[in-house]
Amino acid sequence: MTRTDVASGVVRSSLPGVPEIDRLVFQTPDCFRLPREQISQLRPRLIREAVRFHRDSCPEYGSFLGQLGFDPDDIADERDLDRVPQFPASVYKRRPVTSTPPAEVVQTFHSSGTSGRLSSVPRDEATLQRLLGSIRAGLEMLEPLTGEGDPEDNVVLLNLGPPRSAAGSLWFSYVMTLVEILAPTHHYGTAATVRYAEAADDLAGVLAAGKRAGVIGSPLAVRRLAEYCLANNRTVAGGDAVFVMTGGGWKQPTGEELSRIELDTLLMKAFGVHDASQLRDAFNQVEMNSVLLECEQRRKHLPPWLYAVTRDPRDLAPLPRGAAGLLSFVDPTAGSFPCFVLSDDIGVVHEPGCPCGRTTETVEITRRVRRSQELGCALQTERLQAERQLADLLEADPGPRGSG
Amino acid sequence: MSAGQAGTERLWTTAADGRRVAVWRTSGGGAPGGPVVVLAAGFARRMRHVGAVALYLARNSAVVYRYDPLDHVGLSDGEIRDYTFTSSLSSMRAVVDLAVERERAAAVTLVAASLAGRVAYRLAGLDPRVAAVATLVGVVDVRRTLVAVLGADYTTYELAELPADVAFEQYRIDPRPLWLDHRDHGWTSIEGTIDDLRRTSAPVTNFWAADDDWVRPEDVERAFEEGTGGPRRLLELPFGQHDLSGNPVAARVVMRALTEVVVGDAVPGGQVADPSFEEIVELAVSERRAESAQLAEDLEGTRR
Repeated sequence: MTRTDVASGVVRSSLPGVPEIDRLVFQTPDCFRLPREQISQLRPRLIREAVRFHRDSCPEYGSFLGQLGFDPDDIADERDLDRVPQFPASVYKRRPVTSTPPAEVVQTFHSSGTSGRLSSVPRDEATLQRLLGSIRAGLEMLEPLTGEGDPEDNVVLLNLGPPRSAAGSLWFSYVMTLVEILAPTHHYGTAATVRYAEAADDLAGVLAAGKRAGVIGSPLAVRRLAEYCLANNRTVAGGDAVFVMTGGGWKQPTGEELSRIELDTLLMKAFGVHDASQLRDAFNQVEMNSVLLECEQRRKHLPPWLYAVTRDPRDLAPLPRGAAGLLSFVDPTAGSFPCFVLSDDIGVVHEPGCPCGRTTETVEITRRVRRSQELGCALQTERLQAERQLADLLEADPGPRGSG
Repeated sequence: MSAGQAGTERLWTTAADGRRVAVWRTSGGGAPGGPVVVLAAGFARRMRHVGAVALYLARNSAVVYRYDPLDHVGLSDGEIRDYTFTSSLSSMRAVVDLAVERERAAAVTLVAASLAGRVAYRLAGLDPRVAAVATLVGVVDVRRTLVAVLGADYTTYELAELPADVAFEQYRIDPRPLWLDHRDHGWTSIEGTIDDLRRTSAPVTNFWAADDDWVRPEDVERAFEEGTGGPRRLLELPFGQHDLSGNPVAARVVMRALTEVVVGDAVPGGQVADPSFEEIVELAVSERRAESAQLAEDLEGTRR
């Protein structure tokens, strides 16, 4: 609305207001230290709004809610968040489920699984920006590592993945390239290999130039760089000027999980870092829109907008904090798809109370689900029902959607 | 540069005192006929930080000249430690000279963010070639803003009492040149801003943010209500904060509205064309590299 002040002639008008989710993600410094009462109030409010939006914008999710008889207005407080209907991650493997018109989709991203069908998740700009916002918000946890001042001036990132031009729609690679917005970044990955020798040269070069170096990559790629440095007498005395950020799966090509303790020992030897707190891990998956970063205690903190609960794999009943179960997330930052997902990971959600002083819950990811042995009837039935509902809807309306 | 794609030329110009000002000219991607824009980033921000604004305006038919001021961060001569409003004014004026000459234009539109907004209000009152001004969270009461940022009102100190430097973000700023600039050229009071706006017959639009900790809405209201030398317009961003770039979702809304204000009827097809997410990301990354390359080249030149 535009109005003109008669006395002064000044014309006044107003732009659309900034949504609460964006104020929290982008405009709240120290959002990981908000008072608990504030988090308890804002989280249900943001999630209620997101569930309403996806009910009205995503036919598949709207139908899912209708069949379960769930009304978003029933979300009164945090205790109700366990009841928000979640899609099993497998639903995204059929075809993109979307809440946004195709023209607004920046890209449809795919998981990096090595077997079976891949998940496809469309993201629009606001959704991508909020993902990046979740990383920015978590950067304060890395501040002792990035040094004083602007990371743009002080830090060089060495990404063992491919550059954005080569990342394509592979989600993990794409997310790794987005860090380039935060600080100058070199990329060493190609479709087939990683240029470890060049990365080792640059690591030494960055340190010689008096800057801090952040090595970024999958646990396996980081391990291989460390092995290369050790095998070729290219170790560096990084001290407190090197940090490592891993992301992605911990599985080796053999199928065995990498040991974090062994990786710590290797990295400290190869990069000469002072303390294991310089070696951090991050968690995200294509069906989730917030990145969980580790604090100096190496605990993965939930951002204040994100709700996580573990569930009993046999009947999907919510488990108390501290109990291991199937991890599930309710993330209101995604506008382009309902980001309410039952993951394929076993883990634990811990109550707030991390010694770092941040006020949000922490999550421990234990391992991936071993499907056949562990998935209870309830989850298998739930999955089948959700997938069948989706198939029925798609049969009724087979038009294209979610391409990007 | 393909059709529909904006391109940037790297230029230099010279300020009245003979020092070099780095300028990037962005054009293309739309029908010709839009305004010539001189674009200034906020304090301690470089011209590459307003790349997305330049891209928006250029995509919608404007030709945009942005620059790093003297005695500031960025590619131009001088260090931010010695920042003054007067050298910032001299930089802006030099870029207007360059833009008018190169584009054979009679007039330019000034677009300026934060403290650079205060400089734009002054230049618009002095230079008839300024056809319009649009400011993003323009600072109208410098003294009050500096108190909010620095935690002390250094204008009330005696020169000899001033510290050798004060901290702003990761920079150290010498308050003494600023103090002298305040004494000699009247930059810091809201009354000075009102005087400048009264001298300005060109239309002036300010985008103000409701949750701005550094610029009070009532000061903006007062400056614009009393500084009525020409048409004045205020656009509110509800819940917005001073650092508009911190919220890229809100920044999109502001850049679209700014383009409508600045380009107006010259927007091709009457509908603002939005640069894509990937274009903006790519621009940010490539311009950071270009800046680093230039700095490295300058350093090499200094060593020789």
